[in-house]
Parts: sequence; structure tokens; C-alpha cells
Amino acid sequence: MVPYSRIFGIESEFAAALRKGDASAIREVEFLVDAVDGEVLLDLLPETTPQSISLNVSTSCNLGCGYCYAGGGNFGGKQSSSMSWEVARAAVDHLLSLANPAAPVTIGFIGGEPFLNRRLINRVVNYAAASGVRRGLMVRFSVTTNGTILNNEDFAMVRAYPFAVTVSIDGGRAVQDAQRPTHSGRSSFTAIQRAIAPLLESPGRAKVAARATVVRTDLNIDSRFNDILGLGFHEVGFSPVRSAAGGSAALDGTDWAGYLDAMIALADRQIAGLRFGQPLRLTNLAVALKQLHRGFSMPYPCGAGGGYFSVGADGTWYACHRAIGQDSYALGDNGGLDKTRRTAFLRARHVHAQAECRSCWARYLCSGGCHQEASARSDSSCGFIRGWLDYCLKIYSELVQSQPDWFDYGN
Amino acid sequence: MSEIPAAKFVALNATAARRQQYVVGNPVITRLESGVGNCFPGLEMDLRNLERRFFPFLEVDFLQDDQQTAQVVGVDMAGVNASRISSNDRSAYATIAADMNNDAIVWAISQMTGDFGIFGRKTVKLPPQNASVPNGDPPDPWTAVRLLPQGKPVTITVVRNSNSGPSRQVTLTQSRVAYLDENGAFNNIFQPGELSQSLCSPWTHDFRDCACFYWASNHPDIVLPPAPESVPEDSRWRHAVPWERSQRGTPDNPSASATPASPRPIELDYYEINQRWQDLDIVVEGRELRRPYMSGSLSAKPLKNTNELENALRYAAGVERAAVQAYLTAAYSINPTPTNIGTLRVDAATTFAELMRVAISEMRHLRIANDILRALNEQLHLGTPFRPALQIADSFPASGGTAEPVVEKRLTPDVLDEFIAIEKPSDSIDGLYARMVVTMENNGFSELGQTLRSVMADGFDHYETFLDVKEWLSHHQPGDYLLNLRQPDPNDSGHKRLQELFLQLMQTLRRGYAAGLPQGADDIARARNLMLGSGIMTACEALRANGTLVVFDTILDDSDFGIVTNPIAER
Repeated sequence: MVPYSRIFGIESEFAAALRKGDASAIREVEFLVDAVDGEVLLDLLPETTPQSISLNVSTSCNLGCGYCYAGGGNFGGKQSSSMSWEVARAAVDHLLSLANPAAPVTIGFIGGEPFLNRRLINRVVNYAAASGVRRGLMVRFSVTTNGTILNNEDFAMVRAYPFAVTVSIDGGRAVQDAQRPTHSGRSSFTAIQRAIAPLLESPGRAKVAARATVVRTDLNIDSRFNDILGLGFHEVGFSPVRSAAGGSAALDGTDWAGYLDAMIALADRQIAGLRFGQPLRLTNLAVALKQLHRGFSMPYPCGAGGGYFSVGADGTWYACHRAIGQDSYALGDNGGLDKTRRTAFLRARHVHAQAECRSCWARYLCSGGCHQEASARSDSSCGFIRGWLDYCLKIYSELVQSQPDWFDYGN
Repeated sequence: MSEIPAAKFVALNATAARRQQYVVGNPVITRLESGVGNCFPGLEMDLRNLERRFFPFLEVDFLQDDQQTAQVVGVDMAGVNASRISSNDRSAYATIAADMNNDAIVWAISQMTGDFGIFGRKTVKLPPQNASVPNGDPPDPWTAVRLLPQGKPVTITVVRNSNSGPSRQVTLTQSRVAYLDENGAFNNIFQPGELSQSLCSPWTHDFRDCACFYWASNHPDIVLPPAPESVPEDSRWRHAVPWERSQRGTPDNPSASATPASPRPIELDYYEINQRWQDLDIVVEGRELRRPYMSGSLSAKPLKNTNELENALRYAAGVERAAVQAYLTAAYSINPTPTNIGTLRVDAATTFAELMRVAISEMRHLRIANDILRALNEQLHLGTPFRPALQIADSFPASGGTAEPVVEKRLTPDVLDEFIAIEKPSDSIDGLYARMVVTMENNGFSELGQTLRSVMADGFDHYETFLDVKEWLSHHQPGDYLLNLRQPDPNDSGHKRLQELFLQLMQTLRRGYAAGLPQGADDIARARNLMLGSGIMTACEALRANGTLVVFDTILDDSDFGIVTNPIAER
């Protein structure tokens, strides 16, 4: 993170002058842009060490969600065999040898449904934790799961270690069963309901979050939000389907305006609750506010190829988990990263290299969006992002003045 | 880099705050919730500045002059014109505004009508006339304004005074301005920097204004002005002056000293201290110093040898003893209960106390002389038992080289002058000590020499004390503060008692000094007890009550306590 997005309040006359394009007003603002000592210029390519990997431990899944980017886990045939213990261990060793010991190291599990290979997860977790201790590293774990097949053994593991557990759940029974159907036809909602309850009740060291995918056919996020919280989750994040690969589910054209309205309406209610001491449960909003407060400003939308890599079943290191099997995203393997390929990737994905982004005011907050969704970028989808950020900026400016404490207490 | 912007930016997030240094406004320290809320003049904001804009469209300064003038120093005509006030009021504002650039003209608030809190709804003339009367006025204009409730009407009469042109006045009625806007931020009328313009920041303001002795504990408050190398006896050099005075004085003319009535006018003003703080002098030993400080390398002629040194020390001890006796006699000649006229009682009591203090100080010097002699004895005459120096000098060394016989007398003005002459630095005793110090330094006894220097420093304090005493007593007739005492009759029982105690004291001291510490500690303590309580002090008080002068007879049958003469042939 390059921390220098600066937010200032200004008087209305000055704002009017700026809008008019008054030259002296613009000069005043330019003055504020100069870098302060210690700030890194956004032009530079980062020279980050890998701090985090996800291991594709499973190539299959018990659900059949239409929008799945992984094609159920085998990535259209590119991941046919499961990851072996040797490959997994080699990946962990490689990561731990490269990582910067001053920052936490994260090992994630992804798939398909990763818990279908829970034995491998277990082995890796125990190994990595012990390795980490030996090397003096802070090792954390993460897993993205459909939440339907969790058992006590899984709970014990995620409770015992610092685990970030993201459960993919799209809404209440109707929405969930429609968007995320089981192969067997049984209700995936019921499955989650039964499976997740113990963990939500006593999470131990695990941090559990819900991630809901929004499809164009149902932009009513308010009820999804309430239904998911109703299961006992503490927070929900929403992710609209964008990529063309999502097929008919992807939001398009006028969908975005509707989606923006829905998000803002939900966020407004969340903010209203803040004044009564209620915590924010909408992940998108909470993250945005925190990042704005810290002056978040990044030329990349994520750590892909920089601090984050996803390891395929054969030990290839890809820039991200959505690109498993894509050659242009293959940047190395367990034996080492290919510096040339990596540099080329980072240069190509830098926001300054995205022509459509050049004139967008939000380019260091959005940073071009997910690489895999870049081809689906449109005026309306970018309009949504700008609209949402604009809203968050307004909310931030008010909140930081009316309730500055919220930003202090570990929120 | 571009120049500092004039627009007002409020830094909202952390990274903007990093840029804060270039953001113009009132600093975040003025946020009320962060406040220590100190009104004098404020550690983070000067609360007094909140009242300057109490009246819509006017900027008022509350001066600290004799009239406590509440002067209008600004009119916001743009605001006036944009507002919905009546055209009469508008022209009233314009009348004041027209003179704002003319320094010769002063528009000041002459009276206010409003709700003054506990003082009630009334009209208050400025400056308040009835401040000390029950149900009277607020004590000063600023306080009066402070009491006005926000948003409630207040009527002011503003009067123009000028040397040229007629006096005019306007009357305006408006609602008292609120301090905060609806968001809880300071009202927009407070300009950037205004709330912290008269503050501890810059540090020089706090330094100047601190009334809680924070700074005073770290810097001088009142000092003696810088003086020529040898300080003249002229009282001007002995009067303390405010260290932060504006007139710094010249080498031959110290500046005027403060009077209780008006320290303020001679102090460096706020804007002055920002620029002239470098003019403040370094203070050493209570006196401002403008030349390099030489930790007194004495330019005295050393004595011939260590033998002469030891003899000189013995003589010096004798002088100390003589001084003790003389000062005690003088102290017990002061009337402890004079009539209660003016400062007589206080002056008499203080004189007695100071004489006792100086006498006790001399006793310490006697002890020091003995300690030094014992140390020298060990170095120079190892094996020879130490013979304490408890004799009494036959005369005081005095300026001009003539010796004064030692006679115990009442504290008449003449006697006081003698005391002054005895303690006067760089002459008399001081001169002798200087030679001893130099001698010790030359002979490898510099640490002992340092000890003797402390005696010299005390001597200077005694000198100044006696000069002060002279001044206090100059306001009275000697008959008012002195007792009529007769010389003691040798058979007088009170006098005999004193001499017995005195002999015991000497003998005990001899034992104690001879043994040194720790062996002599008991005797030293015993000697102390002989002086206090039912000992010598009580005996002196009894003699005084009996109308008899306190006199310590010379002890003739013990040579250790007899007379010692000045061994130094020439000075």
C-alpha cells in the first residue's frame, strides 16, 4: 500500500471555484499534491517479496454455481489431478524462504471446494505452523469454502490457528439454493445452516466472513444481507459478477445503476446504525472507510504477482487463483519465480498501463479492478465503481468528523 | 514548490494530515475536545480570543490599558452588506468601518446592555464602574462579554475618540454570536490562526506571561542588573529589576526597577519578546552578566608559605568568632516589641532575624576554618595533634588598612556601618580570604581553597544583608527600635550565667574540633545544644529583658580561647 490519498474538506466558495476551473484555485490544490518525505511514488514498480500464496488443493466441488470462474475446480481441464503433499510442502518452503519476516505470511486454501481435500489442508497447516515457528515467521492461514461440508475436525483446525475463513453464501434459502445448487439437489442453504452454526457460535482464533456473489437477475442485496446475518455471520461482503465468463449472470449496462442504488441504500442504513454504536457489518463499506482513512493509494488492484501468488496442482506459481492454467499468468514454480515474466506482468498490469483508466479520478483506489475482469470493463461498470467510491468518500468525510473514534478502536 | 495556499483546507484523513503543515486554519490543538482549556494565556489556544468576535461583523480587542479599552479593530462590511440588517444599522457599521485604517482614531465600546449572567440584565458602562459593589458590574469588559449568552440580544454603544474631529457614537443591537456552528466546529468567523495568535506558541508568549510559576521555576523572575566589575555600593545596583524588562539599562545606569504598582509597562511586550528574547541576559549568582563569567580566579597576592597560611587561617577564624559575638550583641539590642507604627515592627523583627542568620553563618565559617586547618595539619604536620582555632581576633581587618578594635555594641547606625565595612567584598576579610585561597591553590590544596571560596560568597551575602538592614532601619529613629541597655555588671547573675555557658561551649567545641568527625560528633552536638534551648539563647533573652547588653567576656585563663593577632604584616 502506498499511503497517500489525501482527503481535505474545503469551503463551498472554493469548491465552486474549482468546479469552474479557476486557475488560482487549481494552483492551490496542486500544492497539496507534492509527496511528503517517505512516500513512495506510484510510478515505480514494486519490488515486493511474496508474502502470501493460495494452494489449489482441490479440483472438484460439491456445488454447481453457474458463475464459478474455476469451472468447479478443474479450470476447464487445466487442473485435472489433485495437489500432492510434496508439491504443497515445496510451495510452503519456497514461500517461507522468500517472505519478509517483518510482515505476516499467509497460506490460503482454495479450489474447487478445498475441504474436499481436508487431509492435505491439515498436513500443510501443521507443517507450515511449525516451520514458521522455527523460522521466526508469523504464519496465518485462509480458506474460501462453500461451507456445506464442514465438520468438527475442520472447526478444531480453524479455531486453533489464526485462520481467515470466507464462506461463499449468496443469500437466504431461495437465493442460495437457486444460485448455488448442490449436485444432489438438496438445499445448500440447509447444509450451510447446519454446518456453520458451531463455528459461528465459537470461532476461536478463526475470523469468519460471508461473501455473497450478486447476479444480474437479483439485485436485491438488502434481503440477502439480512438473511445471511440471520444465520449468525458477523459481516457480509458483496461481489457482483463481472466477467464475461460469468455468462448470463454478469451485470451489464443499466444493471449497474440499480446495483449502486442498492449498495448505497444498504450502506446508509449501516451508517445510521453506527451512531447508535452498532458495528458495520457490510464488509465493502468497512474496508473502504478504513482504506480511505489510511490514505490508500495503489497502482494495482491486488497483490497478484507482487505479494500474492496462487499455486496450481503441478506446482506452477500463477499471479492469481482465477488465472490457474493461463500461461500469461504463470510466473514461476516451486523452484523459483521468473523475474522477467514477473516484471513484464507487473508492468502490463500497472494502472498507468491501462488506457481507459488514465483519466479516471478513482484510478488509485480502484486501480483498474480485477485483472481477470478487465476485458469486461465498461462505462457503466466503471460508473458503479466511481459512484460507490464517491459515496464512500462522502460518508468518510462526515464520519471522520462526527465519529472519529470509530477509526481508532481497531475497526 | 508553490507558496502556501490561502484557501482553507481541513485535513480529514491521516495522509492529508501529514500535509497539515501547509494547511491554513486554526490548528487541531484548538479543538475544544482536545483542550486543557487554560485561560492564561492558554497551552493550546487562548480562550480570551473567543470573545473578540462576540458582536456580529465586529472585531474587538480587549486592551490591558488603564481604561480597559474594548476597541473595535475591524468591521466586516462584506458581511454587513450581504446580511439582512436594517439600513440604519448598515450605515452605523459603515461609520465605524470608515475609520478602521486611521490609527489616530479609536472606536471603543462605551457601554453594553444585555444579560450578564449572575450580574443580571443591565447596562454596563465600560470600563465597569461598580465592579466591587455587591450586585454591581462584571469586573472587566472581557468578563462582561464572556457572560453574554449566545444568540441573545446585546446592545452596544461604540464611541469614537480622536484628537482631530468630533467625537461620535453609534448604537447597535444584535444577537450575540455563537462560538460554534451547527456542526460543532468553531464558527467560520474565526480566521485561520486567530485562536492561537496570542499563545504559548510561540513559546516566548508563554514565557512572558506565565503566571503559574512553571517558567519562573526555570528562568529568573527578578534579578540584579548587570554591574561594573566591582559593584558600587550605590543602592541602584542592589535593587532587583524584572528580568524581562524592556529598558535593559546601560553599563553605568541600571534600568528602573519595578514597583508593585506598575511592573507591566516596563515589561517586554508580546511582539517585542518574540524578537528581543536574545536581549535577555544570562544570570549568574543572581545578577545579570554581560561579560564573560570568570569563575573568580582571584588576583590576590599569595602568602609567603604554608606556615603563614596556617597562621592566617587561625586569625581568620578569630575574626569569625569576633563577628559572631558582635552580631549577637547587636541582635539582642533590638527591641523585640516596638510600638506598632507603620513598618517598624516588621523592620525590627526582620533585622533581628537577619542578624541571627548572619551570626549563625559566621559560626559555620568558624567551623569551616577549623576543618581546613585540621586537613592542612594532617597534610603538613602528620602526627602532630590538631589544635583547634578558637581564639578571638584582636581586631577586624577593615578597608584602608586600619584595624578596628572588637567591641560589642548595640546596633546603632554607626555600628551598622562598621558591620557593612567588615563584610564589604574585596577588602577586609574578603581580601584576606582571597590571599588564602590563592595560596592554597598554589600549594596543591585547591579543593580546600574551594571550601574557603564558599565563605567568601557568604560574605558577599552578609554585605548585602547589612545594606538592606540599613535601608529598612533608615525609615525609623534608632530610639524606636533599639533598647536602652547598660553595660553588664561583672557580678550580675545573668551575665555570669552567660559566661559559664560560653566557657562550656568553647571547651566542648575544642574537644569536638580536635577529634574531628566522626569521633567529635557528640561534642559538636553538645555544643549546639548549649547554644539552643535553655542554653545561651535563653541567657541572652534574659539579659535583654533585664535591660543588660549581651557581652561575651574574653576568656583569659585559657590561651586556646584568648586573643589572636593579625599575622600578616602588610596587606
